[in-house]
Amino acid sequence: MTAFKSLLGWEFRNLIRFPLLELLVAIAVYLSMLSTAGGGSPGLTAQSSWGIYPQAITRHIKWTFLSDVEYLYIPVILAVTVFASIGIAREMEAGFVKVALSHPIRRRNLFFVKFGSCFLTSLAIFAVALFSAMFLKHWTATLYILSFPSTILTVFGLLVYQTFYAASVATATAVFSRNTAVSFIGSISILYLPVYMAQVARLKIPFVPPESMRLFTFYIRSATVFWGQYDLLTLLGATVVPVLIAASLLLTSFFYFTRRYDVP
Amino acid sequence: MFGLDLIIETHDLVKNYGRVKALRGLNMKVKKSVFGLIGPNAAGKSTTLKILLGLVRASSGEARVFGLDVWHDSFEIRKRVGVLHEKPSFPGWVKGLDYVEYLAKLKGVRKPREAAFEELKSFGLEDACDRKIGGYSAGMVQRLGLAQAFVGEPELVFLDEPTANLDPFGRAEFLDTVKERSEGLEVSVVISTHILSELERVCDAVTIIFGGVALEAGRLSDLVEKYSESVYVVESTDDRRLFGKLRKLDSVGRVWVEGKALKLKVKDRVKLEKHVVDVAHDLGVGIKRFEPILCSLEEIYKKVLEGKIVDSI
Repeated sequence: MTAFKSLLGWEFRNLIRFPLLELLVAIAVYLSMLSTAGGGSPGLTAQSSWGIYPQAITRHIKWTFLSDVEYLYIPVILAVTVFASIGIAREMEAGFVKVALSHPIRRRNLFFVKFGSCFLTSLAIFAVALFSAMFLKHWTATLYILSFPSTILTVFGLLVYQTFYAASVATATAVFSRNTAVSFIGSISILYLPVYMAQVARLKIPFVPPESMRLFTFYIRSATVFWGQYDLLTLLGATVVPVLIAASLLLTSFFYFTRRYDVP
Repeated sequence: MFGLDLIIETHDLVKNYGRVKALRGLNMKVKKSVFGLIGPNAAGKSTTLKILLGLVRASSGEARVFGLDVWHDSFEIRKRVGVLHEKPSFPGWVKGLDYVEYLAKLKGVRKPREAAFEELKSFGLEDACDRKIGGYSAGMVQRLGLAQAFVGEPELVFLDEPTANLDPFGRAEFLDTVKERSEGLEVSVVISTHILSELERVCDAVTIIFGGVALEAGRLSDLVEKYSESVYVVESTDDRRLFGKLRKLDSVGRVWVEGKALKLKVKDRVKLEKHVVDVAHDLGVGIKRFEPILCSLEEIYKKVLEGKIVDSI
């Protein structure tokens, strides 16, 4: 247990040693909040009657924030890709994994520590960045929203969902590639290319984030405001497929790392 | 049954990396000792060490360390061993002491910081332990590797090219440390190296591997006796008179002069000593030196591999 704790502490220390990266990610998140919560959104028009209709404003902001979560997908990709590349692929490439596995550490523990630290670090940074951005944008309204834990939990849940998908794909890519550059480029390509292709071809691929995010947020908003307007099966189709893809990739890389991986 | 002194045993060990056959049926037994694993490049030495540590899974065959299966029980084995890999690589962003402390924690060492500091000190890194590893020279990184291999008082230490990057003083210190630690065999050491003259100073037994199989193995003293040609060197007060008499002895095959000494090719080693002493006594010649010429580990290595490397090319 002590060894496992040491390993976990080491991984977190390794990943959060670049404050610049966290700063950049926070800025990216904030900018995405500004760009999406801004012009044309219900949030701005509501600001004129700020003091008069607090509940209406809050509802608008809730909508906006829920919509904004899908735009966090790109910074999420960036963060998990960087973390998986430096925490897994680079360590495999540089021989640090060989040193670690020469000590009494079980391979499964090392895998979970590496995936877990990548996932949790990304999630923590985004949770902090998201709530910071919310405060920076509408601090009074955010305080008001915080009195509705369900909204906060929903946003956080979406963030977990996005981060899990991206972290699983990035971890699997890092484990199989065992090369920092290939892992970084590969993960970004796998995670972002379908989104980009869908945008270029003007297609809505339901199971490709952030399209699945969009459906998810619509469903939650409809459940809050227009209950029953959206089909639950559509939502499940959109959200379960990415989770299944992510879980399959994660499991495959887990079995490869624990049973087949020959440390070079 | 795994003997009390037997710490490593491999049986028909095979490892294929795709089409490349790294090991082709390696059989090896290692008792508690300072043990040398020697062979040319790509002979399979590093692969053998990795299999013994559970870092690489053998394609077939069996390998045991402390009587435990190297793949299924590798966690238990790694609790009891220390390792220095070839060309060690450590994260440059962390301080030497912090890193060895972290590895000591992984080994479950009590008071890991104190243990880490003691090991760094014993390898001459006490002044550099608070510096980041990124600022270490290649020799210091090697010393750090040795320190982390020995931290936690392991029962067995694997060292792959341990003296690479060390200066002559560093090498001498390292060899002294190995000798000191292995006294009374509190720790057994398996060393894989190309520098045979150094290995010869500390090793009790060796296995020479080539092409993934063991060509020769045994105690160093036995191998020296086996591969030494039966040649003796004699220096006396009157070599000229001794020369004529020695030629006629039935225990001596041939006698020749080399430098200021006589060399004897021996037919019968048992009788030789008595014959030479009797002849010298009869002639009234004093013997200054009379000893066999023993071959070095390097010569044994060359003899074992003679023709093999050329054939393989």
